[in-house]
Amino acid sequence: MDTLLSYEDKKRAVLIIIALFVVVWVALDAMAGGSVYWQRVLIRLPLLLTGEGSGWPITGGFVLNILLSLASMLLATLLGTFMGLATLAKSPLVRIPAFLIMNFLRNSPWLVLLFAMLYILPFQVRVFGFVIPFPPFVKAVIGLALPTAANFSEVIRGAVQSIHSGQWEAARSLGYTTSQIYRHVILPQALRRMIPGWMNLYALLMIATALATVTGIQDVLTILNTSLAMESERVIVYFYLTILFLFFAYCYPIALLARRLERAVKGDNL
Amino acid sequence: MFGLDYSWLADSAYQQWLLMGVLNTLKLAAISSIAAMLIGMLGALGLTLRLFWLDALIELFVEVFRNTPPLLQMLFAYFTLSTLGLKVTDPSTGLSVPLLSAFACASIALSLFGGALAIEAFRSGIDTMPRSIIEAARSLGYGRWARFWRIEAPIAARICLPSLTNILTNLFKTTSQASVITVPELMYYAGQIYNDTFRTLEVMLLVLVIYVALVSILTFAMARLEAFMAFPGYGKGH
Amino acid sequence: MNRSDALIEIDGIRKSFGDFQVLKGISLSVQKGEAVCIIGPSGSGKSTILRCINGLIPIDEGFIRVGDHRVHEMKNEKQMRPLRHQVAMVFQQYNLFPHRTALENIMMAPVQVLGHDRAEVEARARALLKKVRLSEKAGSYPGQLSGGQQQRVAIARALAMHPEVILFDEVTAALDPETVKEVLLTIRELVEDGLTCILVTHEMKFAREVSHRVCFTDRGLIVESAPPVELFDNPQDPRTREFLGQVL
Repeated sequence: MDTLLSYEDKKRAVLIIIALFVVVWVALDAMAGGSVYWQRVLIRLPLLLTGEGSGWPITGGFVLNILLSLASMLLATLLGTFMGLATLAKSPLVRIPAFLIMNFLRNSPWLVLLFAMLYILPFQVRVFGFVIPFPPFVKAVIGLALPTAANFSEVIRGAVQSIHSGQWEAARSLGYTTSQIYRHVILPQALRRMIPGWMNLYALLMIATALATVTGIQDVLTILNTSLAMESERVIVYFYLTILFLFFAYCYPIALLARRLERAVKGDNL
Repeated sequence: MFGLDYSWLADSAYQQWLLMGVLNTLKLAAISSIAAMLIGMLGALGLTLRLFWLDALIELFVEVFRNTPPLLQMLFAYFTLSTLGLKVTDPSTGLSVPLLSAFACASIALSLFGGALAIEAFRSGIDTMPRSIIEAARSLGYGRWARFWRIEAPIAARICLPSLTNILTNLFKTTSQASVITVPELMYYAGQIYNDTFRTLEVMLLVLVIYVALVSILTFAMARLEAFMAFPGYGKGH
Repeated sequence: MNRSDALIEIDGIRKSFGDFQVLKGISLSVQKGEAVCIIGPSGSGKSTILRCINGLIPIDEGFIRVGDHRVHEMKNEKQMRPLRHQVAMVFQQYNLFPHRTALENIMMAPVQVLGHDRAEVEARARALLKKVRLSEKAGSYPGQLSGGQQQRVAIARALAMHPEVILFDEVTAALDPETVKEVLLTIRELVEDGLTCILVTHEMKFAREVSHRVCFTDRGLIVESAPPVELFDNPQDPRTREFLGQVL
């Protein structure tokens, strides 16, 4: 039996067994009278997922967390790209401020930045006579995007610097200008290496959306807290477990994919 | 300056609060960091035993804690261990009080969270070690334990240092989330202060600067450690 | 040899990296169509000389003229670009761009740097691939080619710029013996076609057969410089004799 299954297979088998065990345990618990608790969770589930008791339209809940993470990631990618290229600049006038901002953001706790954004950003902005409201959701998007952008800037810098110096030598001796070297030689190669880091950052960002509850938006934790006020004590454990499972189910596959991509890129260094 | 009002900072009560907050933050960070390192080393050691069932359990632990929000972990720990958890009867009031304080719950949750990250960091450090070094050690006649202690561990420690720096700064920053479960650390006292003074923006900016300063000191110290432990010429890639 | 006729003139170049003085006063002149081999022990500064000629490494002191370009006076990359259009370099690690096919690697610089017409460059590139005997590998990526094949593509890439001079930096050092032959054959043909080359190499037999002149460097100085037959059969300087005794 030992020689038929490899080490990895056996490990995977144990994990699958554990997963099955959990399912069975939940089922047994449900049948043994815990079902009343699971029922309460199930009743609230649409509310937790979308912010509406009936499950539609989407006004909050876990889906709001997802939307928050997507919007924030988009902003972070844009900002991070600028910041990353700035940290690679030749001129110290550009490079040093970029470094300082990036390090400041990386050394700030996410929660404190979020709070800071809540109070630094005005609740509306007057531009060209138009009044643009800044709802808490937008402040949360910005607050989460800033540290992610700083991290992404580091990913970019790392990817560019990992390109073998021989590529620079060859391009220079062929007469390329610096911006041409970036455009035609360095960035195309660096892009491949940035992707796993980018995906990992997205998973981190998604996990950080749990913090958005402090801004007051109707995300899954906010709804959880309001629901808990109406539930008995024992049920709350089941609610927590459910939300933990929601986050895990979303983030774990992303992390796995990022890891697979990382392995694919590893053999790249020529 | 910029229309910011920091006059409240002169009040010694608020200064005390800030100080207590910083001290508790440091305490919480230190306890969970040390515990996380221990858990990390134990876990990495466990992985080197190559028992498939142990590997699976450790992997489960690591993945669960890496892919769920630390805030949620702390809320869950606080709720189950404190509210629902062990209770003792307080002799003076006769009421039943939770055995584990919010601080203890936060410590436990952060230790497990950090431990999961540390296991991962140590594991990849050990894996990155060139096979040839281990082969050389074996052919020189080193036994398993001696090999681990004298060769693998010192080299792996050096390889792991950058990831460890990340984990320690991560833990430090995450302590701020303990404020949500009423742990009296810096962020919590910040809330107390601005509830009192209504100077939310000023308090938040000050607290932000304090955190960045503390984390920068930590990062700097780790960089000195890295330089101290570096083998000359190692990592000079190309 | 009239110095002012020479295509390349180098006089008294000195270069230090930190405290270590790599070049202690190198003087050399190369005529058009000449093939010069530079041999010597590791660390004697051979590769540094090449990189000073095409401006990759700025010199501390001295005079370098390549055609009409006065390299020692060039202060930044921008000024060096016209020089790089006339001096090409082939590296020990090939340094092909891994994200482009062999054909694209050869075509890239003439199109993107010199701005030549794409169709004309493609025809030129295919002719060069034929010349290095790799026509069938036009669509292959560097990762799919052997070391020797990559090096030949690198040579074609250098030739595509129509350079006056090609610098070869130990181009066979990273190859295994069978593939060394195919690369040396390619270089030999280029020399016979009249290309001006400076080669840093360990291949003594090749240096003897192909070059017009061989220079022996040791510790930052050119110790001896003579036609190959003279240098290999009758070395004048004891250091040259010692080196040749070790490697031959």
